[in-house]
Amino acid sequence: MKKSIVLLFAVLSLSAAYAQDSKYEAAMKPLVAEIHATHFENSLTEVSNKMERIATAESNAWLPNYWVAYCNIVDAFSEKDSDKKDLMLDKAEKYVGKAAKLSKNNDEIEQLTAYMYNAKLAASPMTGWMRYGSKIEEHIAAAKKINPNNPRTALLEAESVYYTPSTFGGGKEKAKPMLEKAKSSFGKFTPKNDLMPNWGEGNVDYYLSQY
Amino acid sequence: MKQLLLLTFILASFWGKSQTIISGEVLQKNGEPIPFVNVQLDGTYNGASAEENGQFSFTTSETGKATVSFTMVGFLPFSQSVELNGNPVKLNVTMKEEINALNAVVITAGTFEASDRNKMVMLKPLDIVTTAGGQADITAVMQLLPGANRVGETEGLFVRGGSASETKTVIDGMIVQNPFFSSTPDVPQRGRFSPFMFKGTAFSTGGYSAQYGQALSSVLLLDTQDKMGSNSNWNINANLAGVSGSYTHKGWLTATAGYTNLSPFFSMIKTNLDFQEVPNGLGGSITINENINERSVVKAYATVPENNSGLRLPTYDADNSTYLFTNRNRNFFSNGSFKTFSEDGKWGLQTGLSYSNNIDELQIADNAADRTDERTQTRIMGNYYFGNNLSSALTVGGEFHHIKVGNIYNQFDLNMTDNYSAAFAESEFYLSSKLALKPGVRIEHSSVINKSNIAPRLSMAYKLGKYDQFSLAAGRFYQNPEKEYLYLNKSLDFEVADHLILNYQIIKNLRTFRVEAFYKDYKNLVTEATNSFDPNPYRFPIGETQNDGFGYAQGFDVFYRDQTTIKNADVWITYSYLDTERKFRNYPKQVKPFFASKHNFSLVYKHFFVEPSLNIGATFTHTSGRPFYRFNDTFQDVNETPNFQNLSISISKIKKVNNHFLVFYAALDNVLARQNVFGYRFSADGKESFEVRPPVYRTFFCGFSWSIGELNRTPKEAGLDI
Repeated sequence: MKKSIVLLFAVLSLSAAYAQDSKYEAAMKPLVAEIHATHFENSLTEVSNKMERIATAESNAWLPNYWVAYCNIVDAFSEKDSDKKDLMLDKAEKYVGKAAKLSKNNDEIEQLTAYMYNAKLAASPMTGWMRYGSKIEEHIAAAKKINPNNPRTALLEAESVYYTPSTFGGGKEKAKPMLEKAKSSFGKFTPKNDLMPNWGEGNVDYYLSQY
Repeated sequence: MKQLLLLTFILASFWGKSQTIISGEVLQKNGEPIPFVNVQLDGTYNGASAEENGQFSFTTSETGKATVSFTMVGFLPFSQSVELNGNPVKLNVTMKEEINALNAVVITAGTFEASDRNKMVMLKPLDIVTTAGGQADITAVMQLLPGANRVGETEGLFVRGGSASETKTVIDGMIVQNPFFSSTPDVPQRGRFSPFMFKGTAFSTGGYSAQYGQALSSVLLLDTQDKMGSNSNWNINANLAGVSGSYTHKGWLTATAGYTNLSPFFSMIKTNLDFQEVPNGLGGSITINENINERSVVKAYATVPENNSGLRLPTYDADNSTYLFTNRNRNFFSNGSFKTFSEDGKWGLQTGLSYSNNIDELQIADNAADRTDERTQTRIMGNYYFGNNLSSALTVGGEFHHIKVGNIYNQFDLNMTDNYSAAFAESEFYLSSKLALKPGVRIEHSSVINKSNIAPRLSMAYKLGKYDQFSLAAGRFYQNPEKEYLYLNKSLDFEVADHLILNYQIIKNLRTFRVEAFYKDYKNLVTEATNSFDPNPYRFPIGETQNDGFGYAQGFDVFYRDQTTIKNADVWITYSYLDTERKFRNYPKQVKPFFASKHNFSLVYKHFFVEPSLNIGATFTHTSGRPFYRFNDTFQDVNETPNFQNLSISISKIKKVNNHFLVFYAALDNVLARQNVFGYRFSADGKESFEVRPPVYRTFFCGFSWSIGELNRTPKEAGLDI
């Protein structure tokens, strides 16, 4: 009898652990799906809050932190109030930092860090280059080193060339082959699972439609 | 049976939980709801976002004691403990607004800052190098700002009725003994430091912090660049004044070497100077800048320039004769600092060490003369951060300087050693995001005069609306008498100035307006008893000296900047009004000093043409006449020099090809070749007067900078279109 109780305990605790895992997945899945289905037109505040609650409860999971940062970056792009925009990007910086602490050598986190600095640069174009220019390059380089085929890194690189004036080595024409390359690497990309980042192809399509 | 009971119990604890409803509303202090607040039961996924009206509601199956947390961007996090037992929990919460860089009032009275630090700053670091007529010289650009008085014949910052010696230049907290190239009579000198070295420049026009001392009028605070990236690159600079090259290794180490020779510059233009040896020099510097970890920074800088020049200066006599003035200058400046923060961000520590040594081997006509000075200094400062979002700070620190200066002129050998020590305490605290107070006190001791002082300081700021604020600064400022007086009289006392400054500023939609009024009261200024008045500013004071001088300065200044009305253009307009009189030096009574002009006006215009990526700038300045006093002047009526006016233009073009970054620049100073007069010098008998003129009426300057390799900092022009 004693044995069976021990066994029962073992089964119960295992199932509890499993329940915990599946609870995490069950909570994350619809949120990630919602994020992937939203293209700038709707605010992600609600989703971000839910992600933030998961991030707080699951202190070892990098993904919810990643997604909180992502939501804030995307929402910041459409935020008109410059103070609010700065606060949202500061929050994104904090969460992408948390994610980086939990998962080392992660190309998606490096890419998002560069994306976040890029958003900060766009928020203060006059001084942004001085402060963020080299940080963006640094994190893009780190992301490429870990995974040269990450399509989001390719997108970010193409995007910054797209917006750089031709006198400074950028321009729309120069960005075109880079966008096409990004498009093809999106074609080859499959995320490891449903919780992982799989955004950005829409952005490439948008830029390609501008030619 | 027992086991079965236990099993049921265990199962019940897994599946038989009761549900509790947690609801309520979240409001600001003023009763307004805060939408989208994230409400969470700690350790669980349970929670909700507040609605537009601040209401929230969620259920949880947890039981017992728990904590509900409320978080929202821009507000301080809040948590509340609750007891979960199935009965509904109602929480009405008030969240406090967080004080942060975006909403906090900033103490601005008496400070004109160029940095990225906060939203209330007037200028960005790059504005300094892109200003026409500024010659990429920090001081020259500061002279275009409110509160500065342009004085053409000598280097230095003359601030609100103060002489150049009343302004101290400070790099990373350390006083710079020789901020300018060695002085030559009536030939103004450039600053020794390139504006590219600094991430922030704060020009204080008075009422400055207790962290600094030994300046009656002003401090110019320069903060060196932080490490920005880890790229290696080369840079080559060539212009009409010389060539220099530098190499940056992985972003942390930079070595620079340069050779200056003004021959090409002077060969192209007509100069009012008669050179025996055109200024030339050789120099090098090393900069180390490393982030030891995320919270600690180490910086070190050392530079060894040497400069030589020889020119024939007028003797100021009826024959228009001249004498030879040569200078071999050897200079060394080093500065090291360490800065660290604790992990929780509550504690900060800064230490610094600096050594400088300067030797001027002068030949004045047939007389050999040496000027030497040496300063060793160390500084330590601790910060404790507290309050709402750690916005308030308590700062305590101290510094020690060992200063040796000497002057040899033929048989005269004068020297002086001072051990100067100071301690300071200051607290900047935020009573709310709208109101900040900064009281401070500084205690100093100087061994050469064996005297001590206590200087209280107070500044504050109050935010009126989202974009505008009032600020006030007051305090007492002490300074040792100038060394020329101390050589002969070591029983002198500190000179004293009291400041009161009131400032209003509004920054909205890329437009800035700032107005500041001030009153300064001078006491204990050094005076020299002489039989008759000699106006020569370069004479050595040999009369009896004491601290019975006094004076005042009052006025206001206005600054307006517009970066939006004209697309891609940036306009600044500055006007300063100054009313000042003082009895000091060898002045027999209280009069307007020779360096003060009533009106200073400047207009700076910059335009960026995106298509050819061209920067064009123009600067116009107007300075009303300054008083001058004659030999044996009776000081009955005041004569003034003519007004000073200058129009400068500059143009620069940027080109990036792969890893090569090129900047071409050209500047024309005093486009209209106006024959400005800075003052007059008199013959020894006082009968003849001579104009003091600028070295060159119209100057043309051009050059280029070529960088190879990935840059750690990209100029702002590269990002304009984003």
